[in-house]
Amino acid sequence: MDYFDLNGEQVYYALHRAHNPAAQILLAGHFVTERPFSYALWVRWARHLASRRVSALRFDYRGCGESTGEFHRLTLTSWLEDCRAMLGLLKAQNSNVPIVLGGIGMGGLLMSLLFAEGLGDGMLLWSPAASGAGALRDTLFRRLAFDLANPTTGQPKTWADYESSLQRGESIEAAGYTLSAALWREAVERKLILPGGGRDQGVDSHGRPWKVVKLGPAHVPLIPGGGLWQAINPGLRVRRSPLSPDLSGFFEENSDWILSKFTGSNATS
Amino acid sequence: MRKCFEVMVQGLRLRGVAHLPASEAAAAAAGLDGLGVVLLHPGFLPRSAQGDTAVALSDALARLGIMAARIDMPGLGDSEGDLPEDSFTFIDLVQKGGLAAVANECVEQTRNELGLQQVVIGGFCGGAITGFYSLALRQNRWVAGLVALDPIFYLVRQANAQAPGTPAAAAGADWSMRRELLRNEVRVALLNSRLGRPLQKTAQQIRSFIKKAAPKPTSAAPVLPGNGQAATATQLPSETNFKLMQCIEQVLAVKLPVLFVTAEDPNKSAGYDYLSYLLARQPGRATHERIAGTDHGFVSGNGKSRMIECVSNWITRELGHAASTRSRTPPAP
Repeated sequence: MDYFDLNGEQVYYALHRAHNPAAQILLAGHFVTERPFSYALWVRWARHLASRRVSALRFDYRGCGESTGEFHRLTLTSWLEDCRAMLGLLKAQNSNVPIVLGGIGMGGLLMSLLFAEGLGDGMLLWSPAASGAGALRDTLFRRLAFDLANPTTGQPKTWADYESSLQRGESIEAAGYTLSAALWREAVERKLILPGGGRDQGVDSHGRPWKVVKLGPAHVPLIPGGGLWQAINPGLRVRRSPLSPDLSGFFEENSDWILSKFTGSNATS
Repeated sequence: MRKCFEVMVQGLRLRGVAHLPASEAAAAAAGLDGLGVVLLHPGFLPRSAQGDTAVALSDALARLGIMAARIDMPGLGDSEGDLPEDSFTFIDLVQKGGLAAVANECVEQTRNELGLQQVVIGGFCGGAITGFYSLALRQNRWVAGLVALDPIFYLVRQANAQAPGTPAAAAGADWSMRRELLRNEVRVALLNSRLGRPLQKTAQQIRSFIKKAAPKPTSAAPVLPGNGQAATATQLPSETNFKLMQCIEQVLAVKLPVLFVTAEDPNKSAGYDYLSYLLARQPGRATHERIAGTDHGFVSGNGKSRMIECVSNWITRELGHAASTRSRTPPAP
C-alpha cells in the first residue's frame, strides 16, 4: 500500500506482487457508492491473482476512498488519467510481463476506453457499466430512495427532475457525495466500447484477448448495485447480506482464463 | 497529506491511513498538541466508511491540527484475516465484544507508530461498540476520550428474528436476494423510461396517503412504554445488548469524556431510547448530539457535515484549552 503523486494529489494503490509473474493486471474498481460494499471481495480477488502468478495493482480514483482530491471537482476524464498513471506504474514493475486491463462496474467502462486506445495486452471486465451515467445512476438512486420515503423533504423530486437539474448545471448531493453537472455531462457521453461492437469473439483485431463476465446474485456484494439494500429498503436499519461469500471457484475460472491467454506469451503493450 | 501505515497484531498485518495535521501550531494553539484520533471499523465496511465519511472526518481533524488515523480490523478492508460469509455473523462477533482485544492492541500500536501522546478512540456503529468493549477491557491512561457514532444498542440478529416477514428477516434466503436484485433492475429500468415520472408521482401519492393514515412517529421523543425510563435492566426490551449496556455504563462511570452522535432517520421508526436510559443512570462526562434528517451512515441530508462539526467542536471543547480546568487524563478504572 502506498501513495502515488498525481497533479498534486495522492492516488492510493496496493500492489499484490506475484512470484515470477506470468501476467500483470490493473484492477479498476467500482464507483464510490459501491466501493465499500465490494471492497473485501475485490481485495480477495487481487490476493487470489497474486497467488496464481498474476501481479495485481488496485487503486482508488482521486476523490474516492483513500485517495485525496475533492470529489466534486473530478470527472471521468480525471479517473481515466488515474487509470493511465496506474498503468504506467504497473508497467514499470516489469515491462516484459503482459498487462491485462481488469475492471468492474465503472472501472470496467474506463478500462474498455483504454483498451480501445490500444493500451493493454488483454482485457477482463466484470459487469462493466454501459455508460458513465449508468454508473452514476446507482448513486442518484440512493438519493431518490431517501427523498421518496422521507416525510420531511416535502415533495420529493422524480428521477427526471434530478436529471434536468444536472443538465441545467446544478449539483446534487447523493449518498455523501456531490455529483457535479460536469461529471454528469461527461458520464452521459462516455459509453462502453467493446471490440467488434461487443461480439464476444475472444480477441480484438490486434489479436488481444478480451472477455466480459456478467455477475449475478451469487456474486453479491461484488455485483454493481449490490450495496443498494439499505437504500431500497428505507425502513430497515441493518440487514443480513453476503459479506464475503466463497468465490474461489469464480476467481479460479477467471485467473485460469488470464493464464491460458498469457502463459508463455511475450506480448507487451 | 496522508500516509499509509501498518501494525502487526496477533500475527496479522493490519493496515491503515494516517491524516497528518496541516499545522501543528493550530493544535498547540487549541491545546490539542500530541492528541490523535484513531477511528475503528465502520460496521463491516472498509475504514473509509460509507460516503467516505470517515475520510472526511479525518481530513477535518487534520485541518484542526489533530492527527487522525483509520485502521481496518482483521479481515476488513486491506487488513489480513478472514471474514465470515454473511454480515450477521460478523455483527454477532462485534456485538459480543469479539474485536475488543485486537482493537486494544491495534490502538496501542498505532499510537506508538504515529508518536501520539493521547488518543481519542472513535468509531462508526460497530467501531463504537468495539471501542466501548476495548475500554472496558483495559483503559490506558493515554486514552483521552471516545467518540461513538450511532452505535446500535440492541442485538441485530435477535431484533430481526423478532420481525418475521420483514425484508430483513427474509433476506437470508437466496430467492429473496434474487427477488430484490430483480426489483432493483425493474425500478431503475422504469425510472429511466417514459413511465418513470407518472409512476413515481403515483408512488408518492400512495405513500403520502399511507403516511396521513398512519400515526406520525416523533423520532426526537419516541413514545414507547417506559422508553428511556426503565428503572432496571430487566425492564429493557428483550433484544437489548445487555453486555454492551453494562460495558458502556462502566466506561461512563470512570468519567471518561464520551461523545455520542446519533442519526435520526426520518425513514425509520424510532426504537427504544437506550441512550436516555444509559445517560439517566450514568451521565458521567457524556455528551449526546442528535442529527436529524440523516441516515445511519450520516450520508444523507446534511449528516456528513453536521457529524464532522459535532466531533470537531466536541474535541476542541472537551479536550482543548477550553477544558484545561478539568483533567485531560481520566482516572484509572
